[in-house]
Amino acid sequence: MKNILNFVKSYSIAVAVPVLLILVLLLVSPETRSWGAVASLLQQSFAPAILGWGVLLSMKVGNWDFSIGARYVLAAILAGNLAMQYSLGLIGFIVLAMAISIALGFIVGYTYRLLRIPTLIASIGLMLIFESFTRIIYDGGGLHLTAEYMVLGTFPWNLIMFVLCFAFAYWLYYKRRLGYNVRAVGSNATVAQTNGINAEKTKAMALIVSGVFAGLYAILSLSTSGVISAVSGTMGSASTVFDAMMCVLIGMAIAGKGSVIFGVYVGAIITQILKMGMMAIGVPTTFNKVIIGIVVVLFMVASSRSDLIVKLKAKLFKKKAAA
Amino acid sequence: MEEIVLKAEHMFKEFGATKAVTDVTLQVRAGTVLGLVGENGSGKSTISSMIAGVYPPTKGTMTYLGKEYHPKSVLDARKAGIQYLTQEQGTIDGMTVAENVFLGEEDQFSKVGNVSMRKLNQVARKILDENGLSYVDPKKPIETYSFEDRKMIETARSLSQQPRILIIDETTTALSQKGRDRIYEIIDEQKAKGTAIIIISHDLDEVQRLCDQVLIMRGGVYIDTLSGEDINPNTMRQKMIGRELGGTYYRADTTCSYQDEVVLSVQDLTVDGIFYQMNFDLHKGEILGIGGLSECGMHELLKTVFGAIKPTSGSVTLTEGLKGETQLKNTAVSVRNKVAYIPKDRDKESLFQATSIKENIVASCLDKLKKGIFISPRSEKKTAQKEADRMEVKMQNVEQMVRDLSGGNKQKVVIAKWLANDSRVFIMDCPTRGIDVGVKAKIYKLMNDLKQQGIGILMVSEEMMELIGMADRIITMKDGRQNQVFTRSAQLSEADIIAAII
Repeated sequence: MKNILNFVKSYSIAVAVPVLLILVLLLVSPETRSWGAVASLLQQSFAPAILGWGVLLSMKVGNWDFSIGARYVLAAILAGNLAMQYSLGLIGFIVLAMAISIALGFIVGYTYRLLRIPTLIASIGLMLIFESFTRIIYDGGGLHLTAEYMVLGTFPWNLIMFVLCFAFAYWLYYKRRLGYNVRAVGSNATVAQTNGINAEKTKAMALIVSGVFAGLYAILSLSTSGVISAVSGTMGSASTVFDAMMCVLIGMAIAGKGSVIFGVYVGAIITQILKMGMMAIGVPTTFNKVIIGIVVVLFMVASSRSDLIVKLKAKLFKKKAAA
Repeated sequence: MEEIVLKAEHMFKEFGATKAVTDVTLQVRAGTVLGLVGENGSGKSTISSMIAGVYPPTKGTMTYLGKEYHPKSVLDARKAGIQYLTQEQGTIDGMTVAENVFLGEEDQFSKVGNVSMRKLNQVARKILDENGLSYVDPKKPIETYSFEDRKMIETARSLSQQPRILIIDETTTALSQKGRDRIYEIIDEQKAKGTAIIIISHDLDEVQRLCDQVLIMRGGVYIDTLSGEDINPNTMRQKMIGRELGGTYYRADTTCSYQDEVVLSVQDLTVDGIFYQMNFDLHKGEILGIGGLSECGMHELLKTVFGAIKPTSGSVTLTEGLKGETQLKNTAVSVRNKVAYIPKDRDKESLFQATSIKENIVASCLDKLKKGIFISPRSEKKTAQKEADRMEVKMQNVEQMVRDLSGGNKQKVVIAKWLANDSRVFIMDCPTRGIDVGVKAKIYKLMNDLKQQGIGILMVSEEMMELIGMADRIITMKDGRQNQVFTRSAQLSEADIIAAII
């Protein structure tokens, strides 16, 4: 009973916040008042959550990886086009997407490990190279996937894939040596090192393994949209990275004592609700990022400045008592 | 004679141009306690770090249990049976107690790479129970426990490995008396089991009580090994600093002396939940001590006086600020008005570890160094050099990184920083915490000099003798409230103060 209570307590905020936001969304937007719309919202959060788990590994150990967006685009274009060109079928597409994405992860991880330069610099440099490749290969035509390759984007396959990815992320983060090391290095690299954990190796491994999630994200997002364009302009892939980072930041803030893997999914849901909500109330798209940015800051404040919340509560109760 | 467990011969360690250890030889025997004693920067932590696998020696050989020993890492040394306990926190936030107990060794609970949390929690439970920590829940995040509990969890982790050598490096410094007593019990138990123990401590009474042999180091060089009756604070002090220091190094006078003029006035100062209604005046040329148990609110009181904590009510007034009477409402106002604050935790609260000595020293006085809109690099260097020389900081030059200095030299940099700002009031929180007798003597002398110059010093100390030895008046605190004021006299004893604070 005590364990159940603790479990409920641990996840109460992570569940309550998106539920409340969904209720607000239903209130302000009559067209979303259907089970289908809510289910669609939850499904749209699958892919960003998957990329978020990859970014979480990197962010937790203190890596700044801006290459993950370009890696996913390059892996998707290469894998999709090769699979269609050689009629490899869905399995072939999945295998290729994963293999290319992991290989790109290796390149980033090893560049960092061998050159010993900050991840920010290594990843921006490689991001620019990968982005250029997306414009060079297939004459910059990107990818238009045919229907037979898009099965995983439909229900219930997308749900099955998401559940498997969730289980994989959870297993990696809480049950594997790598996850253990990532959490240790992320919390205190010096102490981790004196306990025999190689911090630099862990950071490089986090970059490499994020390639697995970039590959999974490429598969699911392509299976949903069927189209991906070459990256236009310098750092055009960065918005994908920022979206994933937002899920992670909200996830870390909201997870509390619960699992941060679940928290990142909740972060993805919240981001989607905000986007839908803003569309529903007619906020110009130019302001979308401003509002999402403010929400991320608010979540960070709520998680890291508990003293402010306590003060606010005290003030509110004082006022009520006085009234 | 007990078996020799470890022999380290002709050990050298150099960090760039710094010679941290030069030709030191030592041996540790089973079931005995070897004390390593020396001033800050004498090399005692470096040699124990080499034994524990933190650094490889530059030169020298180690023989452990009759075989040549070259640990590649702390984990390597740990696997060989050498456990190393330090003063700093060795546990990691965001992980459970059990995960911390098996940090870096979780593989023993894994099958095909999967760590079994159930087994890990079970074994951690057993280890905690065996070490008197049955109240600790292995599944709870480590940050839910106090620093002291966490240190005890770390100790339990070390003991669970059945060490052949246990190195205790200034671990007791950060602990309360209860925690220290537990460490002493552990030392006795381990000694009886035949574990060889190496202890590093600045508390010479502690060293006298615990050690069978004491190895003295100075400036990275071996000085002497003491045993039996020779292990006493006076002999150790003398050998550590290489000269007679006398029985006492506090103020020689025993009378309360300060000027009538008040420099700082604290009125009804309260921070809800921490301390209440504090009232006192600090006079020119006065050392005003504040004593109490560690959790009585005295450390927070100093922070509040400096402006780092916003009080719920009350005021702190500097009588002679730059613009006359000034309320110290935040730290910027305090620094501008030449108030200095030396915190208890210098590493976290006072120093920029990854920057140079120069940058640390000039940080509080950049306005003074400005020429027009520029800060003159020449004045920066000159000021830093002058204050570092005045404090006799042991360094290569002022460009050296602060993180590479020993504890005592770091504290000298903190003081040098405030001297560079021509501070008129000093707020000192445990100014000699974790510092050797040589630097302590230097700080006491400086306090006395500042007093003679009419500077007011407000000092918190957890060492009763320091308060009695240095303060003109001592205010005691209990449960967040001021309870008695003692005036300096030859008759004032530790018992008087203790009776007031407990």
